[in-house]
Amino acid sequence: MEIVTAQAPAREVTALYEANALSLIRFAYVILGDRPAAEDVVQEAFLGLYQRWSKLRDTASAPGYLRASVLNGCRMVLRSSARRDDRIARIASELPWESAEATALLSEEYRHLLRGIQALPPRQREALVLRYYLDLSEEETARSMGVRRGTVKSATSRALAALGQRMQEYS
Amino acid sequence: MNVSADQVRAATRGAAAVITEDTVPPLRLDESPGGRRPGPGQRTWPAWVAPLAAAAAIIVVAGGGVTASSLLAKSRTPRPSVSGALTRGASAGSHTGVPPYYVAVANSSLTVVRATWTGATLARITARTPVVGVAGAADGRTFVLDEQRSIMGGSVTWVGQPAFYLLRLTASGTEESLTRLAVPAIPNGTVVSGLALSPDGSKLAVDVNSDSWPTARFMEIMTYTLATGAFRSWTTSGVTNADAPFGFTGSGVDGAQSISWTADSRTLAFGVQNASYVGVRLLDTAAGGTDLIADSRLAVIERNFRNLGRSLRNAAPPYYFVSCITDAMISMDGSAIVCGYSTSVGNTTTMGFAQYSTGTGKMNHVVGLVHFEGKAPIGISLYWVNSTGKIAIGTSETTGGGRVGVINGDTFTPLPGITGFEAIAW
Repeated sequence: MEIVTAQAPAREVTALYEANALSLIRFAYVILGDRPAAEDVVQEAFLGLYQRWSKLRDTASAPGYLRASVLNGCRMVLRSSARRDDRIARIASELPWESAEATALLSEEYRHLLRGIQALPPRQREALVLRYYLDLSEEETARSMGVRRGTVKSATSRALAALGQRMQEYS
Repeated sequence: MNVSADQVRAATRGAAAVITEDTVPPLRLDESPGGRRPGPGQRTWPAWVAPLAAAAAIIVVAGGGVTASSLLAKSRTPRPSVSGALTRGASAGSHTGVPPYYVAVANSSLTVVRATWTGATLARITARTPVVGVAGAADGRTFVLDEQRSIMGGSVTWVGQPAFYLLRLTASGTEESLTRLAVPAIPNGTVVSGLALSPDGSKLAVDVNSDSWPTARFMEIMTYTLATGAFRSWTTSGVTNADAPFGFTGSGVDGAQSISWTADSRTLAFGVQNASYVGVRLLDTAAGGTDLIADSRLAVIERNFRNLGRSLRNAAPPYYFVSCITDAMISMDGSAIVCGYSTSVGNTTTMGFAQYSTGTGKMNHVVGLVHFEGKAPIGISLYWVNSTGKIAIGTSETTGGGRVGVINGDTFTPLPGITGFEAIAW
């Protein structure tokens, strides 16, 4: 009888990468505001999937795993960076939305809004990105964040209020 | 001034659009992310990635320095075999102590008992509730099955309470009895991510996690004394469980966050990941306390997020993986922890199992080395180790698939008849 474990997982994972890398890097980039870090987080997520491929019970769950893995990687980057040099505050006040590409694509108002999003507490930022960037439902956002639906509601509400305050000061 | 959801949507999507399809870097499965070139003056390394410049030829293993090349030399590495070919060596008879039977969960409704050396099916057990995990005692005739329903979706949602059944086999490997264990109920929806039956079959350890990864905040290990129903529990918070909520193979020795016992049914080894490290801890279940971290000892560090130099991963050259978080087992004498291992040098991949001293945390040696052409260091699974940790049963996978077999020194003896399974235990 044949042994059935992983079948050419490199091909499978590469195909998943080709289908999902762009959206996942963008997702991580919106959270981190740091493209190299976003690429590393996504690379690490796929490497983790690759290593665990033989244990994957249902390959249909791979995209969900990858998104959660990227989200977790972003959290770890932020946590680690915050410990090192209060990077969250630094990001809020300067880069990353000042590149030539960003300047060309985004109005100053939006860039200010993005800086505000970067300055939000991590939970509020996650809720906002999951709800409005990925367009997840409250239930899906809650599941992704591992919190109750009410927490998503309050986090997004507070985030929008904080951004409103910031934009008022800006105008 | 109000900010609307639409404004957030437009701003974040505009920002994301800066990244275009043609600028996505290629996937690199054959080397560490740390091996990529940093952008000019802008590289921000994730906490777990060691910059290439910092990776010395000396691989520091939990405080002790050994080179990967010296490890390979000590283990009398055979010459690389042809592509995909497995190293064959010792005969079945030389593997003393390998249990005669194994239990494999073939699919959600069928569990089978098979003879280790012939692959002959000796018993078929059907279940209405899916069996998702299995663990065995050292006698080779006592097993525990874990039943629980799940719903597959973007992730796996576990529903209902897990239930545990004691399976006893006759001396010839047929089913003698299957009895539901009277253990205290575990709450609905609990993710059982580890299951281990003590070698003497007297105690069952269950590792559960609440919340879903990546925000899991609670981990609990419970032990049940089967004869008396006595129950103990150790808990901790702030840990993550990287696998279980996404449906990776069941529980037991091949499960996420493997747990395993020593022969005295006292010490329990378990994998843990938190903000500081990935490693294997040892819990003395006979001692007092209820705190899973405070009352246990860190024996092996796989990844140290606060001191990358002490991590087992991402050191180069040669680059290698150690996967203690998903596949770690303690030897029954308690002297060693065995974890999956793989390394890639040039176009040759070497896979095997690394044995660490529980006393020093240092790597003793690597066993079961399998060499093949190409780079696919994946899929190492560990199902059983003997009393000293020098003989093991595991999966060594190549680019062309995988084989379950007995690993003894540098030899790998494939076992026949092991088809697709969701969980397996000896």
